Amino acid sequence: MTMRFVRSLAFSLGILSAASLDACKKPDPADTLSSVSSELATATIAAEAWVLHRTPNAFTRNELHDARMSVAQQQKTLFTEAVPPVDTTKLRLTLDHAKNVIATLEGLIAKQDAKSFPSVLTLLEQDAKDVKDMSDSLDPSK
Amino acid sequence: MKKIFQLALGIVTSIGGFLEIGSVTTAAQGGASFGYQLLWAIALGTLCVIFLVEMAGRLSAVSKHTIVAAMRDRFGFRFYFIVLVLMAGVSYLVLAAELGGVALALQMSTGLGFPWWVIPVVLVTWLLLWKATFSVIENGSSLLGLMTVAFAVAAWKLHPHWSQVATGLIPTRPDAHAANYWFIAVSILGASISPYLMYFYSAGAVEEEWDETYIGINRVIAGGGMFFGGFLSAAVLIVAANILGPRGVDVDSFQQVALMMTIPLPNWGFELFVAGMAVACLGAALEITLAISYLFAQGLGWNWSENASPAREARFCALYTVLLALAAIPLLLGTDPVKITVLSMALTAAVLPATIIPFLVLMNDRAYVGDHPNGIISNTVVVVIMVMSFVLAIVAIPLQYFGS
Repeated sequence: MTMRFVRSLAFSLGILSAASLDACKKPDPADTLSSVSSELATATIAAEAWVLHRTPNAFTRNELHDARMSVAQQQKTLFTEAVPPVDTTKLRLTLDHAKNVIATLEGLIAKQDAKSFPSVLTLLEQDAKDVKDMSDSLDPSK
Repeated sequence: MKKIFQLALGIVTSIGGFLEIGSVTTAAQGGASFGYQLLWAIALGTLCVIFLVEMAGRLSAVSKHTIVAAMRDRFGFRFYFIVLVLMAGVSYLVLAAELGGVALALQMSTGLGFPWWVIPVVLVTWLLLWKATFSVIENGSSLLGLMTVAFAVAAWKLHPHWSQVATGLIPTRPDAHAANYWFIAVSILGASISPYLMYFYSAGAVEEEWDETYIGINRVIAGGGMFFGGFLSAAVLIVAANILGPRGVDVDSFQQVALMMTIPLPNWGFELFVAGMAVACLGAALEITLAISYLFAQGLGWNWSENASPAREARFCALYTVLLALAAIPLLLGTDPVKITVLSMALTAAVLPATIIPFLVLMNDRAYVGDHPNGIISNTVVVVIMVMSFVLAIVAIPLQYFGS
């Protein structure tokens, strides 16, 4: 009985240590930047699909909103815990710009303004490309 | 004539029932992150599941036992209990993931957050289990799941370089991101070699009163259906490799997979994905709920037929009712179904030996399979793929979660 208790305790402690280790793990700059780049790419595909009438309004707006929130959240990590070895001033400006552009696109969807949409979308495509280039520069496989 | 019809239906439903949130998510992740390089994992997983499903049908046709009942009979209660705990734990996560997949599909079509859909989805699943017969559940959801053939059409329309696709069938080491590569490989294997599929198939063979004359039909259904199902998984990977990979999208949501379908199939891609996934995940949720309930009922000697009225099998029905309620909890708390999916698929690979080794022993025991035991090829293929999946899981899961 005692042995069984000790074994259960050791198992629980193992799980707790593993969870703590995971929580303490420092975020990797390249992974974080890659994740931000992925969010912007997803937002771009969603916006491109909407303007071609391939996705519903609510879905696209949600996707853009989620991408913007995720970029904002990961931006904090990028400039504090996981600073990537790239031009951080340019990165900060690009991400701030991209978030504003996404917010504008969300507004245009709400207003059903498909006419102004393509020109704003072009700005997002450029931001997404710039961030992807920075992310790729940190990836040894690319 | 009846058997020809059963054969055709069996193949078609195996194809339609193959894809679900696990296979779609893991294949899309593999394609987006590593191009065609992980196609080998789908090929190996499919090969293994073809053998396992064929064995499950053969065991039930010859012995008239389900896998669980035979396992309990052959190895005793203690061993059965270990398998029960492992399988029920992992399958519970898979069930939550599948219910989440239906809720996510509804979120995509309506814009209303997936937690709002969890209770309606659980109620519909429960109602279907309560009211429908086994064949309605199996054939209905799988026939509607044929919408997932859209992935094959999408892959074809993208005109991939078939020589590069073929190269992906040969296992290779990645140039970078090794931990992530092996973790996705394990998840793909776990998504393909789902033990619940064997339990469900074996119970189905008993429900439909198969005998030894079904051995040939069983072989064709398992081989043909699972092969084309694996082909659909490969199609998901090919589409992701062509659409998401070049744009730098790492798949971490179901919505990204829906978006990728809008490019090769501009008019109906989104709708087909949403409808196909809602049906496929609902079908998988029904099958897993039944598989877990069979696991308990067949091992503990309860009444368990899905074709009987709930009044005649109260414990069986009470069990799936409680299971569905429990599976809803993490989703109601807002846990991302895709995160549950990825973890559950990798854990499935890790627990494979506990379920497959005793099954292999049964398949070589003439007391159960009479004159139809396994040959050397089926034993070898299953053991090699199972050991590989297990070793990869043991190495890749800690690497992925705790860093290399």
